[in-house]
Amino acid sequence: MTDRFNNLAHRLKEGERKAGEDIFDYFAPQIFRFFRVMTGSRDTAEDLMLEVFLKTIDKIGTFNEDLGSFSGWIWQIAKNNVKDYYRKKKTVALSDLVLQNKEKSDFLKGKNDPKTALKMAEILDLIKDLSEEEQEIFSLHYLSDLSYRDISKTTGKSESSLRVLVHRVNKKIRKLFNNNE
Amino acid sequence: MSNFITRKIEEYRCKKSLRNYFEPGEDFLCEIKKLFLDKIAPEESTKKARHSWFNLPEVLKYSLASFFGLIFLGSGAAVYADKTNVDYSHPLYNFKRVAEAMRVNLAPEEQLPILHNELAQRRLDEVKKIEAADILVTTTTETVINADIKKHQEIITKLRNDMRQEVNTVISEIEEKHVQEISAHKLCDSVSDIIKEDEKRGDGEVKEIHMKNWARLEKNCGDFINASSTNPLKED
Repeated sequence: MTDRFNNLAHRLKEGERKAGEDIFDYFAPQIFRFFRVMTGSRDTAEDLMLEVFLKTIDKIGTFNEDLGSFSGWIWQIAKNNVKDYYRKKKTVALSDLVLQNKEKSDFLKGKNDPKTALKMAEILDLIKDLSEEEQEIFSLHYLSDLSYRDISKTTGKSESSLRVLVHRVNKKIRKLFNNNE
Repeated sequence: MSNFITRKIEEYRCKKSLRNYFEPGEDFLCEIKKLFLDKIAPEESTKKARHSWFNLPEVLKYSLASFFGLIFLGSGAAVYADKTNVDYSHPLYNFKRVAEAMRVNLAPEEQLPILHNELAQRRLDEVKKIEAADILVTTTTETVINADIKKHQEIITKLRNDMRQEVNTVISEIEEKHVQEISAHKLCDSVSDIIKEDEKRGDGEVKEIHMKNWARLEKNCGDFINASSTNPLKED
């Protein structure tokens, strides 16, 4: 069976705007959440996401569906972008840290009740401590609600190894809730 | 048990809040989407320029397609109605009249008398059919609705007027010598038959019209009008 996104990629190569629209609508929110989780900053996530989609257009000519799915291809661009970002930055700038903390406190001060806000703060701290692949799973499974099959296509990992990863992340998050009982 | 439920609710709340926290802003998405699509656009616009039809907005495309579709269906129906010479009661009758009007407008001048004669004959046949249907109804059902009869009378009157107009046109064409002698011979015969048929069903009010028509016909067709088609009014 032909992959839906491979067809869209084929049409995008021919310059079809509608194909680009469909691709954007599906991947943009997922990729944004991923960057948001990985970098902890909304601004950085926005910059990285713009780069991914501009690169997608620049490199679409090189996409070869015989070598893999389009989902995996675009996701690889996103992951490489994060790696490049950290390689260039090495250490997180102080201004970024201040911004991240401000965003977090603005959010927590918002409409959440104090108990949920406290729990949220703990989860956000936990996310920072997750490994790269755990953060990836967290954004795709918890935030974007993708199925194991779709995540497998995107990340290139087997479904069984994904289940193990999800179980591990689940355990860490659940621990936070159990500790307070 | 209650602890379990409380924990689940708390988990749900956190999940919801987390999603909000990690969700991209609507404005941001729109802005990036526009940039992304604009980067595809140049290729798209050259593609569009090659096929100007595709430049039209969707609504206009569908409207034009529907319009041409209706024109196609309408002209098809008119040609069909004209070719099969449908009756007055047929739903496509009006299409037939439209097709006839088109034929009159498009016909070459020398063909006009023949065409008008054909149309007069058609009106006469339509009148005959309506009258035959009326007779059938009265004999089979006995109870005839007066409104229906009145309506049929009106239709018959209208058709007969149309027929007389066509006859008048044919006679005028013969008078003005727009018809060749061979054709005039046939036309005179045909027209005199139609007038006679009309007289059979006629009312007294149109006697004058018939007399005028006969006089004009005799003047122009006297030499070759056949013996059986002589003016019956003269015999009175």
